[in-house]
Amino acid sequence: MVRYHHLGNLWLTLATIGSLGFADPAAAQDAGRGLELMRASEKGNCSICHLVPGIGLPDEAQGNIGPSLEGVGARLTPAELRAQIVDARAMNPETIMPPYGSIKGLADVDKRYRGRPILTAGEVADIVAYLSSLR
Amino acid sequence: MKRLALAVAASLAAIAGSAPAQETPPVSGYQFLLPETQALQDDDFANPGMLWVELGGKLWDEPAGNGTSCQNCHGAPEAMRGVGTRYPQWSQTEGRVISLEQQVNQCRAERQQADPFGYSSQELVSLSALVMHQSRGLPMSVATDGPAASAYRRGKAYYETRRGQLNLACSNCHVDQVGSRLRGEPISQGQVNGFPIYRQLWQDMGSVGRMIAWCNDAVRAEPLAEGSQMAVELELYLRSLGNGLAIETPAVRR
Ligand code: HEC
Ligand code: HEC
Repeated sequence: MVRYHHLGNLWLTLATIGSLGFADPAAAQDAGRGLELMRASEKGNCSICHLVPGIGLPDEAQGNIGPSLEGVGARLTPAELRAQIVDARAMNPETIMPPYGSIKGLADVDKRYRGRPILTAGEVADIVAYLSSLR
Repeated sequence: MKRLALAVAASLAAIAGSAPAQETPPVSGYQFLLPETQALQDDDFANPGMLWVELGGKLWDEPAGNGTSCQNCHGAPEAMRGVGTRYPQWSQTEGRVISLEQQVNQCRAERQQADPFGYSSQELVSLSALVMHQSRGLPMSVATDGPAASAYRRGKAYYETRRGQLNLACSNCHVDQVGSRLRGEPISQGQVNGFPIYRQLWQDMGSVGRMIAWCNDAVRAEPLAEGSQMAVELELYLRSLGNGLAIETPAVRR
């Protein structure tokens, strides 16, 4: 009984560490998942506006509203990339780029999406990992 | 794509040459189409939208409710030439701006004593296509002053307000990004001079209200129901942006 009890505690402790680890975006980075998230239309859908190297679409089937993301990992630090994705309004209040990690000031959001941003912090971290690899 | 961009630039330049240069002149969505889609629209025998115009022609002559038809009051559909240039317009009886579709339904309810058609029904979009088609080639000229002025202002405010999870206004795309590509799709001015349109993506004919709903869904905004007062007032604003553009109904779009 006592041994099981300890075991349970150990599991609980490990689980806590684990979930803390995942809550910290830096610890969860996965560039491959980042690319998937950039492709998914329910998530990043980034190529509607940007040329995204590696996304598997011909250039003319990708948007040209925003700058090409070719070599963006050499231009911007991970912190700058994260800031641009989370809320591009911080850098350019008039930006057309959606605020992927913020719901501040949003109006008239459909109820299927209300109250949460498009991407979680972990998802943004995955995308940052992918973008950082573009040099 | 280059060819398309050139065609758009050329037509913009052509129009800009003949108009005072301060404001961007209106350009039909037609100018942003691939040549093969333009050809489809131009050929009345191939244009799928003509099927709806034909169905509208049948409904025009069909007695309903108290046994009267559109034809009994208005004569041939050709008598409607010019009418489509004015809608949405202020209705004295309703005390608000109404769309052409709502005018058709008003005739059904008041004069034919028949049940109104659903806003997105095939019947209503067909009758609307028939009436708009009679004005093909005439310049759109909706009134935005007088009793329509407040509806126009509300439509304009809606058009310019960012909304939805993507935080985008209609104007962010259709004013600021005209000619850019959204994925593979060139962004036009969002003009409505060809509506109702046959949209290949829908494999169906749709009203301006349906297009508004589509764009709103894309930015994950609360839906604006077809035929709601706000949607009609937004349509008034959209039509006013294209005042002077020739009506193309039935237009074909991708
Ligand atoms: C609706 C258009 C739009 C979408 C969708 C969009 N962006 Fe952007 N993005 C822009 C624009 C425009 C800029 C230029 C700077 C600005 O105005 O914010 C930009 C800038 C950037 C930059 C800075 C590039 C540089 O060289 O400085 C990065 C990085 C970026 N976007 C990443 C993304 C990612 C990742 C996604 C998807 C998760 C995305 N964007 C989706 C429009 C968009
Ligand atoms: C994220 C970009 C975007 C936003 C925001 C947007 N649209 Fe569109 N819209 C498009 C695209 C792409 C098309 C299809 C290609 C074209 O004609 O521009 C389109 C097409 C249209 C058309 C059809 C034009 C034609 O010639 O057939 C209308 C009308 C229209 N939009 C109105 C609106 C209205 C009203 C709003 C706001 C409620 C809006 N749009 C918001 C991207 C957008």
